[in-house]
Amino acid sequence: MSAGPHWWGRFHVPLHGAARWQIGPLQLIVRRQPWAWSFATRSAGPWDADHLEVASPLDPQTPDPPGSAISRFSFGETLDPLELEPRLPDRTVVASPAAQMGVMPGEDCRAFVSVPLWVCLRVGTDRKPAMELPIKRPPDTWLGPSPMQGQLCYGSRAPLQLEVDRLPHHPHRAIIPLRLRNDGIGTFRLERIRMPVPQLPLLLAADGRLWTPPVAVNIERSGAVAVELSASPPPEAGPCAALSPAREEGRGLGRVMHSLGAMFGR
Amino acid sequence: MAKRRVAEQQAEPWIDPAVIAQLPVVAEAALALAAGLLTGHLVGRLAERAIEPLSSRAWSFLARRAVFWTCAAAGIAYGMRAFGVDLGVLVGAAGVATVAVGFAAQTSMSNLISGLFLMLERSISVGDVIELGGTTGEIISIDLLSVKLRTFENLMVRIPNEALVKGQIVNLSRFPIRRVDFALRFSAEQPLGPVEAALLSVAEEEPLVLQEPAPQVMLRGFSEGTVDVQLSCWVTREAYIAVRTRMTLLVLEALQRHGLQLAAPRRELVTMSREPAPGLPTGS
Repeated sequence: MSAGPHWWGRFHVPLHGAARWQIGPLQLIVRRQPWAWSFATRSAGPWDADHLEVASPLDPQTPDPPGSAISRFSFGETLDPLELEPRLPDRTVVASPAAQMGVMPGEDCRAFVSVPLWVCLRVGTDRKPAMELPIKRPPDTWLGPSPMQGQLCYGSRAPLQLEVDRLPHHPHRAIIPLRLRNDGIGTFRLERIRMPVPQLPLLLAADGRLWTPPVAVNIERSGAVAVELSASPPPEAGPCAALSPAREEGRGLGRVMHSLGAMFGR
Repeated sequence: MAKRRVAEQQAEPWIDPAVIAQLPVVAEAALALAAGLLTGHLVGRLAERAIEPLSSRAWSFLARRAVFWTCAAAGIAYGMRAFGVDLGVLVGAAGVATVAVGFAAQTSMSNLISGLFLMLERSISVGDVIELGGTTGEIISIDLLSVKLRTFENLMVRIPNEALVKGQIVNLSRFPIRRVDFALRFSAEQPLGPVEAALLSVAEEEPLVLQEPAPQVMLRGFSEGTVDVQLSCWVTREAYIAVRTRMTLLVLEALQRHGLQLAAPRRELVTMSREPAPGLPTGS
């Protein structure tokens, strides 16, 4: 796969040592003591910040950046390695096009959604998960017909795009390909769509971009919505390697029926 | 003679035969009472388990108590009948007693009936956060006579059910999302375009503010040389306090950053001269 440098993977932090990561807007400082791992995290700056710094050695006496959240985890003995694993968001994400979009009856629409990533910190050879945090927390949003009925999702700062090259390319974001087919009677107005992110695995393409398998949505003549998820990589990504499993592994794979409201919030 | 008297004394039973004759009756009454209590306990539990998934905790508790006391009353009535007590007379006496107790316990009865209405209406349930007459807290129990709240100061407040039925309850946690409003006042000379842009940018930057329903800036009206503006954002009910606090600070910071000032009410005083117009007599 791609040459990197990748911010994820396994790293060695020496005893009494410290290392620093800057993954877009997230700054992470890791300190290793004989009996404790300490993580200082601070997510600041714009969501599309591009700065990347991977495991830079740091003087352990360097103070944590102001406003950092400090988390410490004690062990009988801290063991290498430290692993950073990229994960997809832990809730469904609602994506919207920059302007309202119509899909004519009998037509297909190909679109791409960019979603932010989470980082899971694991320690030791048995990969014990210490903590997980978003690189930049996306805004919350509500998907439903009224404020009394619906579900809480993450919103998206980047609008849904018809061409993948128009999506911002950041090492801390992943691309979800969407295939929408309208077998209904009239033109379908796409204002927003709920992407079932927790059911998708994360894939690494040869060019270093992060992808998920495509989400195929079919609006049927009856008004029902069929959502089909597969485990295979999208053709746009080329050959891919599995990077992280789906949070809800095995759930939702294949063809699942939904209502228009559950999928598009109407 | 003395020997004969001793023999008679020895032949006398040590328990009165009349009491012995009553023993089966006593046993029957005790058995009826025990059966009533046991049946009430078991059937009450079953009723509670059957109703709980279909309704609220309060209703299942009420069903359990109702079944228990009905069975217990049946057991007591059967036991009294075994003793030969006329149940008709007893029911009549109970009616008179009920009237007397009803007069004496009017408030309790009102609370009891209000409690039933509250449960029927289902406007509140255990765990909800409600506001009533200046008291805000989480409902920890809904009982027959009262509702118990735990306030945010961690105090227990008992509110009679009657007050809940008569008063206006605001259920703060019924719906998953709610709106948080920030009322601001600017000078009427202040252009409102930059105000709207600054306020919306603050809302867009805060991740706990929902993207949809979208934040809005509304014009509330004019008064005393000022204009009232309201920023409305939607948040989850859990994030309400955090967003209200943080957004207040962020809004003030944003206004300062953009050179926008909040206005105080302003009044113009015009002083009128009392000097007479030229040519008019000054009076004596």
